[in-house]
Amino acid sequence: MDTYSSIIAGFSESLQISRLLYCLLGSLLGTIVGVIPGLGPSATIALLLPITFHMDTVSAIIMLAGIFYGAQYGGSTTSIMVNVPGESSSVVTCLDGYAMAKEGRAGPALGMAAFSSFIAGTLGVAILMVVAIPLGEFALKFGPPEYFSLMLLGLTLVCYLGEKSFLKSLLMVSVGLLMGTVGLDALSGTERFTYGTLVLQDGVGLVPVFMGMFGIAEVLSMIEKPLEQQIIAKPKGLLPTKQDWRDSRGAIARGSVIGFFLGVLPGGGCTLASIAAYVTEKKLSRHPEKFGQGAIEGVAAPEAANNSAASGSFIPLLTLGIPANVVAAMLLAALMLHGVVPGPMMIKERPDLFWGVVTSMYVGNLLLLLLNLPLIGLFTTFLRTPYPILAPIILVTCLIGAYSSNFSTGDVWVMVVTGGLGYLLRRLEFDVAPLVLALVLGPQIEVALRQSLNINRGNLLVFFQRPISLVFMALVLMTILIPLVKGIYRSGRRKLS
Amino acid sequence: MIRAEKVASLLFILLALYVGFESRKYPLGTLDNPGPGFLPLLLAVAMAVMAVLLAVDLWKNRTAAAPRPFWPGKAGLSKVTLTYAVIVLFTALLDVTGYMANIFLLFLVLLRPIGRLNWTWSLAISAGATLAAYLLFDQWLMIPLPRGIGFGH
Repeated sequence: MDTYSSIIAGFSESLQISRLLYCLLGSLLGTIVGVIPGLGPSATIALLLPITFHMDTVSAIIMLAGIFYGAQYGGSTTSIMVNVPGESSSVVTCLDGYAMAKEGRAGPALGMAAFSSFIAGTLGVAILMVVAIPLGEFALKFGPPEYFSLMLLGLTLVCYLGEKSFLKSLLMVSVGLLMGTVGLDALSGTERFTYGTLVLQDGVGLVPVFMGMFGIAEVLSMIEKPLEQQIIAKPKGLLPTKQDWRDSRGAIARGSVIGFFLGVLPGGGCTLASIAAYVTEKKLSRHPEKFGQGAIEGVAAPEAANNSAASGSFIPLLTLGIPANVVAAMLLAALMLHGVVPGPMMIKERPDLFWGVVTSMYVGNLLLLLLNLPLIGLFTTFLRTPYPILAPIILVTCLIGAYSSNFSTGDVWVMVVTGGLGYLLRRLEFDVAPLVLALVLGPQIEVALRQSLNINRGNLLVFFQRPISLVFMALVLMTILIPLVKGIYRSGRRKLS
Repeated sequence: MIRAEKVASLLFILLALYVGFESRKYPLGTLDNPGPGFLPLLLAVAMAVMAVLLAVDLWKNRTAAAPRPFWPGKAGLSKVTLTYAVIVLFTALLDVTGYMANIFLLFLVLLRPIGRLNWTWSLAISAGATLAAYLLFDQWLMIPLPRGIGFGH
């Protein structure tokens, strides 16, 4: 089947009434959690994973993907209306979005955020369609050494590009990989670190860990803050003017391209994409002094970039089976829980799933645009939801969700423990994203490492002798050495001064 | 905060040592046929090296300490402790008292002492939430949740 027929077949999957409803539900839920500060797509996907067990795989992934890109739309609303980012990927939108709101131009800022998100999201999906097949075919050349070095690159890049200390993030990777070794060894069947408990025999459950690290830890972080009630005005006149469009068109185009490529990059993600697009726009602008004072380009560029990055991050997930960020890691877990192994063979073996999900993203982006503009007033009311109401809802969903993943209290305990641990790690300024990513990739990394050594008779240099693997390993070494050299240089300068 | 980070780095060193010690129980194998103990040992060594580097950095004050204190203020800490205690209690009693009583209690604690809602609203919302949970999880999604001793599934 050629690409054109595949796209048509994909639309016939995604345009089924039930799939459309799941797409709408996911996009709307995503927008709502994007609007609510603190609650993000990671926590929401974690909460909904057990519910998807009852759904068919295509519908489940369509809904979960909708939450991911819907959250990118919603995040901007909070940034613009109350100067608090709904999502980390909307941090820079606060700068000009809130300044516009103070000038009484919240409407056009919200409108431009929605339009640029739609344009970039759709463009991202179009590039995804073009790139996915050749990349999938290229990935067929990968053997265990290539997979091992690529996964290692993904993990080191997540640490390198993350917002927290590189060393602390690497420590989180080692903890995640270690947690991945718990349970039956995939190659020999030996039980490891189970201490005779039944719940750990199948390994540390991904769903309870996701719920603990993102749901429980999020609630504990939310609850420690004093109660505040936001006063939010209703935005008026959402359509941007012709001048607004003239000022923003370049920013949207550049934001889309930057966002897409940073989304594809393991560890890149939506936050980095939005910041990079904002900085680029400011540098290229003839009036950089206007940035931060209510320049509409400062809203258009990051909002285009974070949506485009969301589309881009589906490339490594669907073609290589390697998640680029923590939300993609959860989608990978969702696929695995449904018995699907994402990777180069998925496009051929499950074209309904691949093309169904990809085409649903077109539909979802369109639905979001059509719904977002008239419903912005409604979404801003979610900003008024007090956390004493929100917190117990999240907790109950987590507790029941963790129980229903295996119908055992053992999994609930795993969630409670990882929730407490996740909270303490957040307080200590550790990033839990590398841990979760390492936990998801851990078993695959171990198998790839042991198979590589086994096939190549214990030759450790195999990772540097195969050209594709060599490129990945060179990048791994670069990402580790750059922060090390920087640290030595900085401490040398301090000693000199 | 720097003190808490130093303690954390030491705990990571201890964890690495423990994992290294425990991994001896599993066959290490050889380089051309690595066994189930191979990766845990490798990770224990890597973790120990990184944790020592972090500890050295912290003791030499090379790593900038996180700006905020480790524990939240007194009010925040008591809210976090109470919430976590309720979560632990919920889990411990799930099979005994059942999910409905636990959900009611969890809502009540989060709404009344933490959310400072009045008793009437707290009780009404808790009862409503329990009913909603019953309809959603039990009746609609048909999840076999524990109903407590004497109530069966």
